[in-house]
Amino acid sequence: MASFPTAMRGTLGMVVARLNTTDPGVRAIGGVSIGRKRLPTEPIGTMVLTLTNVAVGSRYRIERQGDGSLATPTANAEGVAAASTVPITLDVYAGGSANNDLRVKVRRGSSATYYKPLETLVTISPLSQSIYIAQIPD
Amino acid sequence: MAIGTDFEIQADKDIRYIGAAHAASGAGYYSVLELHRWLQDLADDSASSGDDLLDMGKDTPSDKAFDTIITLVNGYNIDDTAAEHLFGGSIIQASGATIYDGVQVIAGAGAHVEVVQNGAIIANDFWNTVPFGGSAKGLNPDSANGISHRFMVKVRTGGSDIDGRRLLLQTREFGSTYSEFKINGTGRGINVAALTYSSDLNNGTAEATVSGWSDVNNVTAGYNGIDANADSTNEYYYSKWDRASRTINQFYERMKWLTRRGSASTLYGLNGELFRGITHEITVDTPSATDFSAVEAVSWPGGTGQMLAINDVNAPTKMWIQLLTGVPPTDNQTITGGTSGATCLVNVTVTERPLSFPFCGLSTGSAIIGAYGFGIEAGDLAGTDKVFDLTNTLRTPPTNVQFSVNGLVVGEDSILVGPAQSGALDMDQFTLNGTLSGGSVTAVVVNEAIPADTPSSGTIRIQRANGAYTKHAYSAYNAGTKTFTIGSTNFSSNNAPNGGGVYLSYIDKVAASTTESFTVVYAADRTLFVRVRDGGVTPIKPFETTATLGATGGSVNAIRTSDA
Repeated sequence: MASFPTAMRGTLGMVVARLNTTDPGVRAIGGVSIGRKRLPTEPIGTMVLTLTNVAVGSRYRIERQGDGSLATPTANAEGVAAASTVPITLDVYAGGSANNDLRVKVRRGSSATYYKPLETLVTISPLSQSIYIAQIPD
Repeated sequence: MAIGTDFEIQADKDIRYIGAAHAASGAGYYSVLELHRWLQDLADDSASSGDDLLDMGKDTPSDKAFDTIITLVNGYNIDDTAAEHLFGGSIIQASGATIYDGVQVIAGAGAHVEVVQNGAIIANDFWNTVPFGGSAKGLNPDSANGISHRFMVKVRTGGSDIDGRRLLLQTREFGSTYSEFKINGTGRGINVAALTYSSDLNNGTAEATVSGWSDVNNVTAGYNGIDANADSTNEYYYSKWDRASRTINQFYERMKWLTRRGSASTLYGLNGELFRGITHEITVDTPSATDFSAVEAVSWPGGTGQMLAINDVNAPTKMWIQLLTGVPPTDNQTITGGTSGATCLVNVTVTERPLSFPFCGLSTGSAIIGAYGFGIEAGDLAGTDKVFDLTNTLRTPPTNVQFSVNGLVVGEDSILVGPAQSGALDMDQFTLNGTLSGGSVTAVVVNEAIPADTPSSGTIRIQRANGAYTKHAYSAYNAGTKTFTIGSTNFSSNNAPNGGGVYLSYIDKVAASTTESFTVVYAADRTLFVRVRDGGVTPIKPFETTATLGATGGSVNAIRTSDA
């Protein structure tokens, strides 16, 4: 059975689907859902942001637009592309949270082929998203 | 040394050079591309380290349009010191408000290159450093490709170009050739300047020696007439130099000394090092009531210059300047004298004039090929010299040749040098056209053409009725009317009959020196008759001979055979 996006659960009086058990804020007890209010700074789940067409060897960094800090989980938000497609699992926050507003940086300046630094902005949602990385040789 | 060792990136995005100073061991120099690569290398690091605060978490530091054009972005910047250690292109920063442009000099190894910017020589000429371990001046040379220097010059600051990004590069090393190359507005990347720098074989005298030749001076600075080609009509120049006792090549060396690197001399209000000569001739009109000075600084909207000559300080129609900053004036712009306050308007035409290096022109070693408008006293020029007046017309001075009689005894010897014919004195070189019988004769008209090599003043001998040939000084002659002008002379008695003989006596005097001479304009070889007589205290037998006055002059040594 498909799961409902966690963001919708708080508005339902009854759970009609299998709940996402990874969400610590919701528990199913005898067909009744019990919701818990979260702070805007608390993630409501995860999503997968996929970078495609990345030059192998490029370093990527996903950071928050607001303060430039790494997106969470930080271990996923930075790395070196081992393949041209890089799936990155990131925390997602309630709609409207500034924490969903991210900057994607992709750089390769340490060895040939060099590429111009690439930056793009993205606002993530609970749905998976894909970004085409069009690097330009430097 | 790696660039990362010589540079640091501070937290405030200042990229600073921290390596060894110029000429010291380990001083580092890097291309702008190397800087960019280094920055990009750091920028893709996960975390910064050491004194280079740049990693993935930081803003992008630079952008490369071409390998030679690097833009520092997001606040990253270099300072002037860092710029001294970069070459091979341009660095643009502060959103284009600051630009360092690359300069590449093509010149002989070791050239000392001066850069003139905004009317002044850039004092900090770091590019002339002798690199550590090197033997010749010039940073970042590439001798295999004839490159003597590579460096950057700041051409824009605070959002404004410095004098339109114009640069003038020059070499003025005494003993070597002088040259200059004008970059009339640098572009991004590498700006190439070709200069000549080699030994000047006509500039071999020690600098200390030439510095003492202060008898060479500019008699008239500003517009003045000189009859350089001896055609009785003045041409006009912006100077009238007196080479005094110096040869023409020594004069040339003195001109180089005055304008050499490090000169403390002033020419036309400019330091000798900055003096170039006339760059522009400007047609003007509508002068103010106030007179211009003969030489003064001038300005107009968009430029400044030094006026080197003006054809009339009160009602000028022409002005000649050396452009100092900006661009030449254009039609109807007002030119204002910096000293006089006088004004005039540009009347359509502004003509750029050719420059010579050095400013006086070139020396062949025995003659000078003068620069545009450069004037020398007529008497200091020879037939091998060439000068160009302010109309840029070539004027060739006559070949003045000298004939000397040597070995004379002062106060005793009488010398007569005249035309020769068949080994004897040609006493009828001319014949009188009309009898001279008046009481105050001033004109002596002859039948024959007066030759071109006749001295402009001198003496003639005129046959009188009693057969004697009397000496008369003439102050001028008219070749057209075949007339000599003499001082008023009474011919009413013992007149000079029509058809009587007349001849030029080139030297006709009692020796006042052990050598007597005369100078004429060479036209063709002329055979002269020379006679020296001494019937005084130590008498000699009359000495008579013939000699040739040729293209290089001539001379005779009197043979003194005692007649005691």
